[in-house]
Amino acid sequence: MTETRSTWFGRGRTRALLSAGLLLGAGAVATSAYWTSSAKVTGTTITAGAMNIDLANDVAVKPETYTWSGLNLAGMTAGSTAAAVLKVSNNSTGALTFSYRVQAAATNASGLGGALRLTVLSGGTVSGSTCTGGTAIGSGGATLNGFDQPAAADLAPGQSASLCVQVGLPTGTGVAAGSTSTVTFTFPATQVHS
Amino acid sequence: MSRIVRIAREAALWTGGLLGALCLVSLLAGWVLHVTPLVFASGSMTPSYGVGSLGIAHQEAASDIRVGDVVSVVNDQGLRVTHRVVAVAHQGGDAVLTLRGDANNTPDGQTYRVASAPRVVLDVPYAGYVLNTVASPYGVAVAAAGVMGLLLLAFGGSAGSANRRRVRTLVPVGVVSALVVGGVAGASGAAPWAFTSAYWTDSATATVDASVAGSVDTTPPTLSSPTPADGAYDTAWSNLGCGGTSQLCVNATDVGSGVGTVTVQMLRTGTVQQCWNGSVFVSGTACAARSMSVAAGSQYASSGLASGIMVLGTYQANFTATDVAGNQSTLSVGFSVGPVISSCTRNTSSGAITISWSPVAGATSYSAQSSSPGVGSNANPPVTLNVGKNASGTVQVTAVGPTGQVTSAGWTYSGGGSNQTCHS
Repeated sequence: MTETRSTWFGRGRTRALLSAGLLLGAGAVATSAYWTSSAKVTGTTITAGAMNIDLANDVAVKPETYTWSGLNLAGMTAGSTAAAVLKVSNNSTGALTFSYRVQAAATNASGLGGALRLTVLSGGTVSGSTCTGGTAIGSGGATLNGFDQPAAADLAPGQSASLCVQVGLPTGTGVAAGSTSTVTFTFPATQVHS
Repeated sequence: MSRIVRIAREAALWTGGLLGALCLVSLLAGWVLHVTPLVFASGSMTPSYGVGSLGIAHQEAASDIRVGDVVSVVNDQGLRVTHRVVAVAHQGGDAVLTLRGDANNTPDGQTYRVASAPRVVLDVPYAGYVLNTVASPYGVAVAAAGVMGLLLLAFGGSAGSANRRRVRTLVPVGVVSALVVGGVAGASGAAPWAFTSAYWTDSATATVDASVAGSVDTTPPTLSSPTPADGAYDTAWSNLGCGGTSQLCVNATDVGSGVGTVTVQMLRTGTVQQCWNGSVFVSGTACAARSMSVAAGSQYASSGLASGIMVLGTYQANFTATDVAGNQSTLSVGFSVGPVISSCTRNTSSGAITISWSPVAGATSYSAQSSSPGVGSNANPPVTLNVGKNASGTVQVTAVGPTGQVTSAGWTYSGGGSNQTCHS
């Protein structure tokens, strides 16, 4: 009995000492997440799910393409504007918050796309054919083609933002009657770590 | 000691020893072999690397990074991002990488310039969850308690001995020391270890069709009243051209969007193939159309034409009008600069006809020809042709020069007895 016990005793000490390596590793892993080159601390949570930015019809499709009938830009005349609200939603599964940008482009074969002006108000409302209230994204009345501005606020899962979008054709614009253009609003979103 | 207790003690010691050894080996491997374990903290690399996967990455020099590799970089916000390389540009010793998550439809918003980067070579699904759990405060507490138990089990000795009291002091100190050493290594960045926020991107697009009020103009412009008119013929360009400087002119109108541009292309045709390049005539027909500008009202005129180049020859002018909506129409006219018979007299006794014409710029020789009987002369005007009495027919003059040859309209001679005539 004594002999057997001493045999186990000797081998057990080595294994027990080795097991302390687990603490070394656990300690290293636990703190390494807090070591980053910048001040921002991140990454300690593993987040399952998939991120989705969605527009009015709430389809969790990547990438979503939405034909926006709410904004009527047919039959514009010099000096006219049209406005409508577009809902941008975070329909992510899992705790995925994102920041997003508002980009706009217009085909310009007839000169119409280049003449259009854009105002985007986050949280704004439609008043007649213009947008009022809310927070301006970029400057009001900016050239639509090539518009690219960060949105005012990040969206947490389940949150949505109502963007009032106003598009106008300035007075004194020499665009031929019957000219057409396809206007595209793009909302690229990137996951943020809070 | 019972058999069951001994087996349990052995199992606990083996498990703890192996896990501890694995930790020590991975730390050593990281330092010696430049290997970094990475935990995928989000699903943007699904399905290649799922959420919670433990990736093993090996440090690669910039020159060894290829499109398709999955590499780990630090972005502008100081976050570690592990995504697939979709484009790589080498600048000096560095690589500028464009990355995209496999599950993302858009590339990352920024590019990354790196001298070297860890490239993921293999992964263990879900192992990241295990490590994350162990590294949580709760996990660390459980591990510390477990290890303390093992140490006490191995070094405990018999109850009441001096050794046992010493062990009871040393073991907790050792456990805390191991945690602190590991923690310091991790916090200082010395531990080859990283959580990687393989972050998500997504985008949504809304499209709207815009149009300007009014019907679409599908009617092409109307071209009319060209100058010179089609078929015009004269001995000098100054009599053919339009306006004070003798240009090509045409009227253009458009219903709908209005006339946009009017152009003209002019060719010398016949025996000499040339075209007008805006200042002179050059060989071939490849001259670009010249734009015309409004002269008055709806009349458009060319510019740059001069009598000096509009010499003997046959010409074609092709007018093109385009309206603002893009509809086009064309109009072509042909005209000539050539000799014109100015007088024709007939000798009533011999029947000979004498014709005269003005010289034509660009002509180097002339030939006068009667039709019946056929009598010719290459003399300069006036020219007398002996066609004989009672003959009737037509007489024409052809001017020849380096820019072409042009034949005049015919004059008619006829008559009998003393009534010999020649008239236009």
